Amino acid sequence: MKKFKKYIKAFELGLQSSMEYRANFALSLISSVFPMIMQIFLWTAIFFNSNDQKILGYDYVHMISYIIIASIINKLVSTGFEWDISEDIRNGGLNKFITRPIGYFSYRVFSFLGSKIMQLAIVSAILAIILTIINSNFSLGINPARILLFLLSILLALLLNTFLCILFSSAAFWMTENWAAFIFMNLLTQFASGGLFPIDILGKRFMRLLDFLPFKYIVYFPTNIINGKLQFEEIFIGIALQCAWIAATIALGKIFWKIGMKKYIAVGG
Amino acid sequence: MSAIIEVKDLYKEFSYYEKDVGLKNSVKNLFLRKKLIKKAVKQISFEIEQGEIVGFLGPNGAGKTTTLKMLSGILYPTSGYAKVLGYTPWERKNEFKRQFSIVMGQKNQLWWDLPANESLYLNKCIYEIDDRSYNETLGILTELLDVKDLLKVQVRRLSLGERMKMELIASLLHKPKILFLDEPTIGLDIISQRKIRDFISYYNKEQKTTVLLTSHYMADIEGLCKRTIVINHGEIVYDGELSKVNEIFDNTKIIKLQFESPIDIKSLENFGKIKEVEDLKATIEIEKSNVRESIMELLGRFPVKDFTIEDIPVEEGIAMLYSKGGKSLEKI
Repeated sequence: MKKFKKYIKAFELGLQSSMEYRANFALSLISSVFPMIMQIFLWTAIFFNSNDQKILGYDYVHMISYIIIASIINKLVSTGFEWDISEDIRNGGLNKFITRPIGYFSYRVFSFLGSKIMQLAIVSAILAIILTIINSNFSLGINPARILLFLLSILLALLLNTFLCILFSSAAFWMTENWAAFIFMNLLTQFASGGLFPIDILGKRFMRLLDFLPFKYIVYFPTNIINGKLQFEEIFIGIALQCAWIAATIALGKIFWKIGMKKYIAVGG
Repeated sequence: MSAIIEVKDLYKEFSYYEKDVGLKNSVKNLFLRKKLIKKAVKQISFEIEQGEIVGFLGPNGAGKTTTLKMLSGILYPTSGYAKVLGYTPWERKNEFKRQFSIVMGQKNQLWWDLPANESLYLNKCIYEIDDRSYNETLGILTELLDVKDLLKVQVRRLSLGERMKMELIASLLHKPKILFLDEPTIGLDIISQRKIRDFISYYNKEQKTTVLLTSHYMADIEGLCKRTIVINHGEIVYDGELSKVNEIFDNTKIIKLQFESPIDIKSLENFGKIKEVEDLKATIEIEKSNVRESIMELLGRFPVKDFTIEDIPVEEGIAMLYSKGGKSLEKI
């Protein structure tokens, strides 16, 4: 237990420093609304200028509710500590972890999750309100079992995204200037996870490609649990695959970090 | 007493690349980068005993920090051997990490947005220090460094000097047997420098902690270290008492002259190396064995108003060691 205490403290410190800057925190929440509003306007314009009830397999209500729910989930599972990690690698901040009896990997994950808690609580509350409104007006068929599975899948999605973030940030070991790589990865993740629009509108062939990648389990999968698109059987398979992807990203991340660390200590921070 | 730090033929090289001036060469470098090797530390050897304070002195890029990094396990050497507290540092065993600390003046380990006591508490958890011992040590250290009232202040609001004190406290909570300090007084004002210095000296006497520090401030080294290792171009050029550095240059003296009326400066060249000339003043370096005759002649030939004979100052001696380059000198 004593060994684990340092990670609990790291979690606590992450939580505490996230509460230091209230204005920044509030603005980061508000700013994430804009892309969603843009999307809603865009799809409204498309639907109202078309003669078809359904576009690419979605009717208006389902498209808009997907976009709202997916945007919120996108915020819920967002990471962004790859910048901190690459700073540590570039400026020798890793040194203080190498010389102290603490694991960098675990330390980062715990302090990140700590800093995430506040946002998680507030965004979840907003999501609950919005889901209630949508459900009572258009009946998505939400029931307790679905909510439970949905919450579980969100938690797993957050973990998956966190470990993906660590995996991508190991790029900093090889590239001194890596902001372009991060922006590329962020865009790719947003797009391929279904955080911008439902990815199945891109067609069957594209979906098959995404089956072999972890991204769709970050936003697309949880969103489809709650909006009733998936059967229970599909949900269980999906959750199992989420777990598998988490294990795979942890393993791959560890390998990349091990190689990167070897390079780091050979070259120096 | 046996050595707590043992270093033998430690060697470290880095690879880097060069680019000639101009766009053409930038394009060329895009495809082909010529790898070059820099030898940062060339086969150095030394031993340090428990309780010693040893100063590492050397110009920028001499290899001081690289050596400290290898001794603390941050860097892997290209070749050579080192044992610190009986451990090979770059194996990075947790038992080893629990027994030393490294403080880098230009890096911080404290959480920027939170008060220092939070980061200190994190270190308590990291090093698994029990409550009683933690509170006791923290009390003593904050008392000594006079920062008791600052523990609850956000770290970003602290001055550089106060932050350095907190860094020192953070690194001493687990009572390390060895303390590596990389330029602990960099950028601090004279009073803060002195306070940090006094603290390190006191702490070393009380706790018998072995301290290995680098600094560019001669006062740090003079005030703290009995023994100084001067390193230049990756080689140890001097290992011994700082005040005795000049014994290497024992055969020269500095003569400062003041004249009553202008003289032909050129004619001074016959006596020795002219170091400085200003209006009616001149400074020349003369071989010790010639001092007597030279003075007699100078007094006879020139309208000398006043003169002094001095040893080469320590700073000057160090600077001469720096510029001497790779030539190793014998241990004294």
